Amino acid sequence: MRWMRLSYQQDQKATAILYLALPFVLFAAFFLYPIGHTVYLSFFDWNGLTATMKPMGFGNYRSVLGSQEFLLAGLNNAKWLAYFIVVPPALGLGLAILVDRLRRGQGFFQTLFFMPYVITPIAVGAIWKWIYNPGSGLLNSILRAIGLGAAAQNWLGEPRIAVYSMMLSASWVMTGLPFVLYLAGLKTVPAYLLEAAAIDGAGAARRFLNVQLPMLAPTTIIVEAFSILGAIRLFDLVFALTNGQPNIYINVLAPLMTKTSFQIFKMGEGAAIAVLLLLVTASLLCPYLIIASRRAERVKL
Amino acid sequence: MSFGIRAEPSTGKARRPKPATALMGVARGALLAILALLFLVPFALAINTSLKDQREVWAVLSLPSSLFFGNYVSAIAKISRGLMNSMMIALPSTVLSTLVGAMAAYPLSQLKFKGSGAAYAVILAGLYVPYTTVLIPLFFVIRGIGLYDTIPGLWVTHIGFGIPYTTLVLRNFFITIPQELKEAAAIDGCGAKGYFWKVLLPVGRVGVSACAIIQFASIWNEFLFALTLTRTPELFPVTVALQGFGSRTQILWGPLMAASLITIIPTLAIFLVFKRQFIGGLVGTYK
Repeated sequence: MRWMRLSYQQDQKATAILYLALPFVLFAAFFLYPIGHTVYLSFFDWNGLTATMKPMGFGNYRSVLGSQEFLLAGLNNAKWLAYFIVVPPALGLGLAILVDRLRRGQGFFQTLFFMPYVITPIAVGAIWKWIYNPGSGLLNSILRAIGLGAAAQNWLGEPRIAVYSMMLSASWVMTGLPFVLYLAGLKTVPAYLLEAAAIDGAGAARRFLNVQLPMLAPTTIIVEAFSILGAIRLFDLVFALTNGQPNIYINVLAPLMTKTSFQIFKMGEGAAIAVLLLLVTASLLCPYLIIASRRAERVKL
Repeated sequence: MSFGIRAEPSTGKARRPKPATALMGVARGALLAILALLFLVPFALAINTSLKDQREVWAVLSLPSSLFFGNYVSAIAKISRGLMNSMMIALPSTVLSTLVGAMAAYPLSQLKFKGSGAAYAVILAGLYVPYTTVLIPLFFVIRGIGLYDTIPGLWVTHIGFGIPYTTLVLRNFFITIPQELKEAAAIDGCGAKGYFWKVLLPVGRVGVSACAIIQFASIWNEFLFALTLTRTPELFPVTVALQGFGSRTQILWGPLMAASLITIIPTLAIFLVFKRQFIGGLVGTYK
């Protein structure tokens, strides 16, 4: 029977190669090659139209890092990063705890709080532009109606507050994913653990801190990884809320990169911004990648 | 009931709810109700505004004096082409990217071969790539193969960038299908090649459909690739059309709200109908 087992294994191996070939070719074409080529382009001066490419060394990086536009966008991205790490996960966890204790209606609230997450950010931007409209927008209209007209603002036009206004609208959208992940995570905490803690005299707060929160650690790792990524990928919402032309005081790096590359045709500088973003992402997410690859290897087949 | 302890005190000790606990419950309910209303405000605003004629739009806080559907007529005139394009983009991309993800997920979950873990880790790493990093070469590749400003160009793009996600979802799902099934199929003469089509896809259809549902929503909602890879307004998907519509100097809020609501109907409907698969797919992916 030895030859049969061998051929079974060979069959498995041949099939694996056959099935992985197309996905890997596409993966190489859409991830590996473009990343490499972006790094390459970042060392050249090129307008994307002509064939001439002038080698620049680190010149693109120097001019990008020295420009006020880049530094302002980078600073805003840092604010967004802090926001993404703290606010949507905390809101999602809070909502999950509230909903998890309901006896009835959990499904209803799950639908409700998750709904904004499934709609396109461009529509979210359109609706929130109307909420923030300085003339007759919802927010200013409410403020005037309750006699707080003096507090009315140009929410998206005033650079000092525009970033925070955008964050509020982002909260409406971004809370959904952490919320459903935490709600699912809370269901995995065995009831007997909570019961035992309660018998030992632990109040609701202690039961949460000492029993539930530690058991939610795997969920938190995933939630935070995708929050960080969300901050770096941030594009659509800012684009939609600013009519596609964010001014330099409220811009972030992804729209700055597309503007640099595809509107003013400085491919080299655009590529340099892209590479810097990749480096930041890699350094922030490395721990997560290591965890993910360990998990992949640990799985027994 | 998740908190078995509250629902049914199983021990002999009778546990009456303390007044403080009951009060907490009421406070929690009130808080949830307020939050729920706040979450509904943007939807309510959009619906309310979309049903008013131009003269009433500015009185944001009042209800329409009579229902006005003209905004929907002008919104459809503006974005119907975009809706069709989005369907033409999203449907084939969804089917093909789910299939390609399943092709990758099959060996990574069911077959034994050297380097399986490493291959999976490489594909997973793709999940964490910021799209800006691939955008310039993507533009030139798509243009180089003659697919710039075409709908097939977006199919290819969505299939390619869908790979990490679809592979992850489907691998996590396929791995729950027992190996014994494959061994039984092998005894019946089904080789590893045929197993994918004949057994795995039919048996795994729950996971495959969850993956497809989520992929459809994310492709429908996608904006950055569409913006970068199309130029002709007749080919814009609805997200790009809506963005252009909402960026005029003189915004007509009634039609814009109507257009926004129409744009979100397909994904919202899919989510409401397939909620279990949708959320189950996301939770299963990220666990």
